[in-house]
Amino acid sequence: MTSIPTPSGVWTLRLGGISLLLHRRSWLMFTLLVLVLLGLTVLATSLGSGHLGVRDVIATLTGNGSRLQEIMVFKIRLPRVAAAIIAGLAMGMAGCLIQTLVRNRLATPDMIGVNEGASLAVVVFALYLTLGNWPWWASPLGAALAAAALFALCRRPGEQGYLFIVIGIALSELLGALGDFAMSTQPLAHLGSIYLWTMGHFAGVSYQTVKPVALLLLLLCPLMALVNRPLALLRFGDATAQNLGVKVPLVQLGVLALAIVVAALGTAIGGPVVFIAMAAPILASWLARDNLAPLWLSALCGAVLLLGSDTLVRVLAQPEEIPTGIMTRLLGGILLLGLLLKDRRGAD
Amino acid sequence: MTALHAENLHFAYQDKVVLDDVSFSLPRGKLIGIVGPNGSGKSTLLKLLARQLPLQRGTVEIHGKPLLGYSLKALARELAFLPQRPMLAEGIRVEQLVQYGRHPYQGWFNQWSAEDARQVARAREVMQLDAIWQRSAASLSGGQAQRAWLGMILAQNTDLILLDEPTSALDIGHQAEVMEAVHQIAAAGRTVLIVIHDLGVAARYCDELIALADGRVQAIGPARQVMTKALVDRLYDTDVDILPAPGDGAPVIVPRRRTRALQQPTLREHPETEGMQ
Repeated sequence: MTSIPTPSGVWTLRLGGISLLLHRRSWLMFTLLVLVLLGLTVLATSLGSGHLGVRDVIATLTGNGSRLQEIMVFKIRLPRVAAAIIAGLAMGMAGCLIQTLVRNRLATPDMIGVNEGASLAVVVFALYLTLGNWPWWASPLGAALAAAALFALCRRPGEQGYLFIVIGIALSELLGALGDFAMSTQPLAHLGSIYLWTMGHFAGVSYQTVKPVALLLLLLCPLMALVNRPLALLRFGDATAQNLGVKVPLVQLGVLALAIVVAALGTAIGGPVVFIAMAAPILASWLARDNLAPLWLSALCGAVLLLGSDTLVRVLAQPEEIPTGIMTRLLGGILLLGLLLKDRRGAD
Repeated sequence: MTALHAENLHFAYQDKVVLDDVSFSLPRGKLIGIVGPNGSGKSTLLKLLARQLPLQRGTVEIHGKPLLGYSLKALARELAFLPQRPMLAEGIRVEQLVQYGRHPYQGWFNQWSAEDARQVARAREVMQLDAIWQRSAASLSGGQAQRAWLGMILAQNTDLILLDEPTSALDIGHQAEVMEAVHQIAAAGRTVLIVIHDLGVAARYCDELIALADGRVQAIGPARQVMTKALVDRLYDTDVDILPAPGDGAPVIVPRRRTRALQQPTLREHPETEGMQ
């Protein structure tokens, strides 16, 4: 039997009648990012008030730490690290889904009212319904409602990417104003934790909120894998995608629903951290080059960026606590400026 | 033998009737051009046939089976459609573009078969994509880009191919490059239906022509019989000369000048007066 010629840039995997194509660069980058994330996890666990060396962390993680070290690692540091990773994964995926669907890099949960919807819901719960504390699902609920409203207003997201973003910005102003109004009616002393949360804040998170979010994300993974290839074909426009046999409206609807749920989950743990959902897919596309919808890479990029930012604010602000969202905003702003300036140079 | 049969097609956007009672059959293995003025419904007709728009009234049969009887994936194995300005995904290489043409044949656990490899290699050869195979598709010239897209369409390995003005934005050199490629595809036994703006190009390359105006078929038949002065004048509301091309006698269509044409003899007699009027 002669072997079948393989396209360049991919590995083919053959097993009986099964054949799979693996985008070589994407898988190399995937492995690399997993290693970076592992390294960052150990580093982030060792950094902070109270000395804990990298070696101590590894020893504790492998079950050879002291009682005190175990408490520091498993009870204090790791919950926050896990929270940043899970939220980052969700934001990276949501960003990739929405950007690819709308065919615009600016279409991210940060820009189109999802974050404001999450904040508004938390404000309403905390101030009017549950007196100070809010259930973990309050923010995903608000985010999902906001996104659903946006999609109801836009109908076909693929056709009018620009309109989608402009309507989203208007919606986010509206929801933001409602949230700010609700907060302004309350005494300042009540607002501290809510304010920090709306900025994106990971201090003091527990496994209690991380667990359900992680579990739901895991359940959604098979669906992501299912839409990944048709999603990539949508980048050629609706007409070409349909010509290649893709049920365009169905795929758009499915991706949309997934994007809403994942974006909403992303806000559940540490609040609406901005810019991760925008930066992660851009970084992933840059790493993967000609992979048209690098969903998994984008998720990992989100995790690395968010864990990196959170660790940075922890170390820099010690012993104060500043919201993680401030750091991601700073880094994201620099990234966006860099991209825009690069584009301008390219256009000249 | 008929590749595609359309009967009594009618289509309207809200109140505006775009196609009205359009019927025709496409013989297998021919290159058939659709010509007509702007807004005559050419693109709409193509989109209807490719199921990109819903059929409002009338029937379309492909190889004797109704259009709606095919699943989208099955249809994508019978009919390939290239829209007027296809959207390129940034960063994609020519090789990948052509490979995506195999999507209708692939599944979750069947992502690359021997047949996929064979069809992609054939498309690469027929469209002469060797030199640009690894280039980024965004970096290609207009003619090269269209050849790459045609490569994808060819890899789809369908009997029917619908092309919506693949030469519209191209200069005459690139136009010829693309039309030669299209001709190659038809010569290999495929049925190609192509919307063309340029009447001369249409008459030279196509076996048959369908002339559309106001959403109705005005003439249909062998290209050189259809392309008469009377038809062109009526279709485009203009006044043209049709000359036979030296060599093969293909019709060359040139518009007449309307008012100045009458003055030309006097101008020729007194060239020094030119520019003084």
